[in-house]
Amino acid sequence: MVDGCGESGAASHRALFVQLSFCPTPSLVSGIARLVSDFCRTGLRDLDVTTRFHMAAHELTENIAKYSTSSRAMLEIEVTEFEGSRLLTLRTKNHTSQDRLVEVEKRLKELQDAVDPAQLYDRLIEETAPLEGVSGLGLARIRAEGLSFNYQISGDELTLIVQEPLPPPTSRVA
Amino acid sequence: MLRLLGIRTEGFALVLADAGAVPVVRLSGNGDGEVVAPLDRTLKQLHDELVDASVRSVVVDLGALYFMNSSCLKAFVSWIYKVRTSGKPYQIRIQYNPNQRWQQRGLEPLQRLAPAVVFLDEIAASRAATASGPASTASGQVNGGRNG
Repeated sequence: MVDGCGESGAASHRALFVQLSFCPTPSLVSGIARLVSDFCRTGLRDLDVTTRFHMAAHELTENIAKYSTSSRAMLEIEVTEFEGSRLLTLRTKNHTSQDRLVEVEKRLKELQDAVDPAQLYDRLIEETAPLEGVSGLGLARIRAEGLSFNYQISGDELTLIVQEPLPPPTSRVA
Repeated sequence: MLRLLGIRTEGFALVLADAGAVPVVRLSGNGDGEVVAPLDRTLKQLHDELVDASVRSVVVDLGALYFMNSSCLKAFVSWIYKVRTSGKPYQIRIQYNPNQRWQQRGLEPLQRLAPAVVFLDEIAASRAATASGPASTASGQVNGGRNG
């Protein structure tokens, strides 16, 4: 792992992180996803984790660009350490409409409750296949690729949290 | 004879690399939100042309494709569904790059959607390494097919 610039808390140590405040617009989506990819590649040196978090960042940022109702959104990626274990967390926050919150909460609950996320993703693909102009696969794709999902809704603010446990830290890279 | 116009933007391209008996369509770059509408249109046009030409198989080369978002994947889902439900189905042989780790994970659900239509072929390692570069136009072998 690269040198951290960590912050210590009572429960866990924040070993490495990036926080980004951005204007939700489609033209920034790919660049923000690349930033997450670079963070993972540099900090973790794990290609599988890097590509899955690149995909997750792309899907989440694209949803934010589509559905945000304010001119400011937030993305945060961090590695935390606690009692020898490490956790990679991608967190996004944005404001959106009540209609969107109802819709996204329904989808997220379905994803959280799914016993087999890959099977759920397959079902959604099958259901949306004949429909024109409808995707709705982004969140399910993230879950199907084995990443855990959580969310919080506070007023009109939606926080999405994607996490992946990491192997214990190895020797420091020069 | 196929006359597909393809797509060329700053960060993405879809070209008809071979218009022969087994046409080859090559995608490269970044399949993000700005590509979705033209990709959807182009795959519909491709399907119509393949049916008109009574083609039995088409190769889709993803060797130099860096990423594809879920909306672009949905354009492929719509295409595959159309082939699966058409009176004249043909094979879609997708060549994926093992160095682009998202590809196999992202493509396997498409194969499960239509195992008799979609075949996944891994690009040989030597070519995959070359194709991962942005300016590659290399052609080469594929390793054995994977299907359901």
